[in-house]
Amino acid sequence: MKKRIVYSAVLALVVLVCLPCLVEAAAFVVTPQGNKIEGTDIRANSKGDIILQTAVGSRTFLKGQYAQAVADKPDDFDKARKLIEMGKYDEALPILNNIVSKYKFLYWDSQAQALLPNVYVGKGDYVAAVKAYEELFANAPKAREGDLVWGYRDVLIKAKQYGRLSSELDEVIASGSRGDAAKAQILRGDISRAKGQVEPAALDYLRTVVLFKDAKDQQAEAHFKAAEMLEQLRDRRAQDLYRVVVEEYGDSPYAKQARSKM
Amino acid sequence: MGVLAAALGGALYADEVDREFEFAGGLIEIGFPDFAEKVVEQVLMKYPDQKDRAKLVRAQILISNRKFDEAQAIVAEMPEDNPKAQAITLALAGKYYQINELDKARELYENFFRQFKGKTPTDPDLKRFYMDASYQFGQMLEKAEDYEGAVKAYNRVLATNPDKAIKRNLQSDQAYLYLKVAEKDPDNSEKHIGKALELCNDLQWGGMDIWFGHSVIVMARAELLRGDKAKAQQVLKEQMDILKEVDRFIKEQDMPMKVSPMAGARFMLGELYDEQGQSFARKKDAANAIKYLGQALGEYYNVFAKYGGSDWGPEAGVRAKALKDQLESQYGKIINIDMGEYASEAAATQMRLADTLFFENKYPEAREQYIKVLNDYPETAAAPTALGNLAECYRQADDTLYTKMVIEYLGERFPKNDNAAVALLQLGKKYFDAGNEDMFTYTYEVYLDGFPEHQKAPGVLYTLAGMRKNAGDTEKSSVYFQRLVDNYPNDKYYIKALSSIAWDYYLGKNYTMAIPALTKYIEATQPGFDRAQAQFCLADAYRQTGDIRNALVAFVELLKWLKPENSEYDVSADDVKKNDDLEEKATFYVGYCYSLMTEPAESVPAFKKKAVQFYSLYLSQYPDGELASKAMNGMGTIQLSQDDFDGAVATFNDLAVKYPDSNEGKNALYSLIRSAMEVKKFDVARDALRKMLNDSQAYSPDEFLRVGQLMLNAGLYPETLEAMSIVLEKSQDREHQERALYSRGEAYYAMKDYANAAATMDELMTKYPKSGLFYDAKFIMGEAYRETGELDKATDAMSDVMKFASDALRINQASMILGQIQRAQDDKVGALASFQRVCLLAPNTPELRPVIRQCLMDSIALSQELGRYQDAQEICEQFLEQFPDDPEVPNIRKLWGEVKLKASVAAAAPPPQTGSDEQ
Repeated sequence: MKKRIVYSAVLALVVLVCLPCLVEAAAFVVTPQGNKIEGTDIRANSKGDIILQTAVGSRTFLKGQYAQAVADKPDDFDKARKLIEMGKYDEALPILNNIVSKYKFLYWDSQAQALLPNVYVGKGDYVAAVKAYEELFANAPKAREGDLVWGYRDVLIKAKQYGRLSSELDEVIASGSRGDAAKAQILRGDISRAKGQVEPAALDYLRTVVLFKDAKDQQAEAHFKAAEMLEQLRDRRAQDLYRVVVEEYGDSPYAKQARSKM
Repeated sequence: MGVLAAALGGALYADEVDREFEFAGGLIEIGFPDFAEKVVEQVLMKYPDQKDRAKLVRAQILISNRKFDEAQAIVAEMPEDNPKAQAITLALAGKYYQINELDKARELYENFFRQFKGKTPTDPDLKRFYMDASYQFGQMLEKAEDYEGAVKAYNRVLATNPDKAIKRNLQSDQAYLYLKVAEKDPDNSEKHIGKALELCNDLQWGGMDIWFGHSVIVMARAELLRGDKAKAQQVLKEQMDILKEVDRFIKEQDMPMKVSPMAGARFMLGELYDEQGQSFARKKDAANAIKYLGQALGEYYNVFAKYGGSDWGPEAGVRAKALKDQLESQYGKIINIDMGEYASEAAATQMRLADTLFFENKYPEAREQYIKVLNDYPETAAAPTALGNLAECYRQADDTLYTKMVIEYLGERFPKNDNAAVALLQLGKKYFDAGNEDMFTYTYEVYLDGFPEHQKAPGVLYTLAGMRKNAGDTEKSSVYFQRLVDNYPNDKYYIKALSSIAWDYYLGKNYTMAIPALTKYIEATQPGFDRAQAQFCLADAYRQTGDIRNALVAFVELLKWLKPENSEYDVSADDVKKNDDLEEKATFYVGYCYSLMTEPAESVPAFKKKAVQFYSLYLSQYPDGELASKAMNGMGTIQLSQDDFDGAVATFNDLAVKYPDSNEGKNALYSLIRSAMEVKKFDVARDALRKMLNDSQAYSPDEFLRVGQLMLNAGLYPETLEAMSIVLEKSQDREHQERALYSRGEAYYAMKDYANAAATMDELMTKYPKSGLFYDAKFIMGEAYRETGELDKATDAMSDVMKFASDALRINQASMILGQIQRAQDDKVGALASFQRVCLLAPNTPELRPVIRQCLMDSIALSQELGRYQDAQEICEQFLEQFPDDPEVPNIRKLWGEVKLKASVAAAAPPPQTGSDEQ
């Protein structure tokens, strides 16, 4: 899970970064029409107005008059990222928080925010991780549309904030893409399982097993978890499902566990 | 119209009857056997001579309900050669075939056909069945791979001289069948191929149509069978233009593409390419293998997508998938198939295979096929129905868990999809028919959650509510009814649900909840008895909750609805009677409510007047009404309260005379006695009691008890004794006995007949030592014995009180009386101690103050008598302190002065001499 979150955060970083104008450039502003105006220095005030220092003088862009404002990359941003990869969360945290506050409205705040959930997850503080995700989504709504949202849903479960997650998952299951629905079904099964509701959990896992075979990335997990639930329900088909995990998804992390159950 | 009917005579009759029976047959086919039965009954009423034909339809109804034995019983009643009996037999055979009981079907068909020995029936109904049966039998034999048998069966149909289209269709089918026979019988294949080609010749000479096209396919296939692939390909190529024309014609005519011969042609081309490709593959010629296999794939997919409904469609799909897998796995090709507009059709084609297995009741096989196709085509138009069938496959295997899994998926992933809703309903019905309440409830709940706007949702809710109600689970039924009311205010079940909720509350005596529910129900209904009844009960609910004002308003409103001569509430003759009953009751209750109104106080006289007015109205309109005695009683009571005593007496007398058997009539005397006591007309009360005593068997012990109590309360002690004697005579019931004995004791005591008072209380205590009247009886005993001088008994009585009592009042009262007894016994010291116990220990509560006061007074007197002046002084001081405003204060002050002096003198006096003087 940790790896997946890190991956998701990095992916988010890439998503957020892959915009028309990129990171390594000096300060610039992008207008709503898509024009890029470069400068030598850039500041933002507390209201979100941007002051860009250009060759011909300074220009002010009021909030709403620009699509994006980007400052120079903070010196310690990469350092923070490396610290996270090394598991040094306590050291990374103050750096990221500093970037978030210092670079508000200047792009790097959301970039740092995208890394914060990983830090909290690494520290085992899921409640803080949830908050960090929510602050990120509030600041950069588009981040919710990517894979990051699965990391968020994952920590909601770990933080036992089931109520909020359930209604979201219900919506995805009912009307999301089949891939997302399959993932959401497993998560919803996880919630039921955490609450001790074995049959509802089994139903969700089985749905992915039987009717979402096209969601190949979820099959091993769905089979394994369904098998566990069937085992609790004393349903002999649990063994069949474990066998499928071992035989057809031998490379997955669930295969070893399944083998031990057979 | 009549003339026309007469002119047409038999023809009209025959047409009408034919039409009706055909209609009945159609109703059976679409699943309405009950309606079909009604149609048959109506026909027989008009045309009783159609019994035999009716038997046929009835047998069909039985067969549709799978009551095969009963259908066969009908056949057994009829002669074997009876055409209708034969038709029933064929219908049975058809049904057996449908439910995959092929052996039974075959036996019936063969027996049937054996009877005809090659001749075609002439009876119209039988002929119709004969044709259908022959065709079905042919289909059955085909499926069983008895192709020659199938050909013969189709020949029977052809022998009935069907119209051209049917004939050519059958000939085309036979041509294909002959090829299959040839495949199975290679030694004689040329013979069979010859027959096939003969038929093709007939078809080609018969016209340029679909069947012409099929004949081309047969001819090409024939060449394949002969091993001449090149010739087969040539046949197809040469006729391809015609086939394209036919294909285009079919499309333009909006006919189903499955009938197009192009399907067979392209499938065959696919086969040819496939064979070539496989041959290259074996030779490891990858390039050519890929080329030909790719072409074959294209042909198969075309057939699968565009002609999926044809006989080649499903097989084309299977072969296409196999080729795709081969190309991907063997040659590393990535094949992206975009079905485009044909995706739904492609899905439907694959579904067909699953559906076929399903309808043949091969559930495990159907299940696997459905899973396969639902994963390939998860969300096409055909998916919900397929999911419903998949769920049924699991249900058949008794696999509740997996059934639930599919049910929830249907309900969640296909919202607003009518087919999904219908699938759930069908599944729910199956569980319902199987009596599996848990599962049908579960399924219907998923349906209701997922499809709240579906047209059947209100009906389902109402059904579930009704079932829960019948099972006594009113809590759950209320939930369902309320859901109906909250969500479907425009549905026909809305009012029924409102009605159920309201009546459940009312009949369950939950009047507080009944009021808003009834109000809502009344608002929603139209004038009629139901509404009037609801209004009455609303008024009653108000009354029951003590809201007399609103009760009155509601009753008055009801009378306004019902009073007019042609009230719109009198919808039917039945309603008139029922509404009259309501009107009667409402009239009474208006009076009753007025009689209870107390606010505003200044309006009370006016209310009473209104009450009397309505009671009088009731009595004049309904003198024999159920509530007449109550109305009269009510009037008398009001007269009493208004001090119209003469009026009240007259009314109560009237009540007793006119309604002697009613409770009020019997209690009339009681009411009269009570009112007489209140106004101190004791003679009247005595007279009334006399009447009761003279006719004592007409009155219950309770009535004598109540009257006796009234007498006691009013101080009419001899009358009390008389009344209570009757109670003692009439009833050995403990409550009656205790009460009567005690009251007699009280009466004796009040009459100062202390001996009898004591004896009566003693009798009470002996019979009922644990009576609730223990303390009261003991006090009277104590006082009575004291008066009779039986002081030991008096003491015993008070000691008993002090032994068992736990409340301060009783204990101290008993102490005081004990003191009085002791004083009577000349035990002054004992008496003083008893009094002082009260003075010093009794809590200074309002109820005990009189007792304390009395004890203080007695203590002062006794202390003086005993020469204990110091004590007397202190007691006086205590009195003055506790009762500073008492009228005896001046006397007590004076006494205090006196005893203080005496105490000083006593203190100063020398002690008495001891020794010889005292000897």
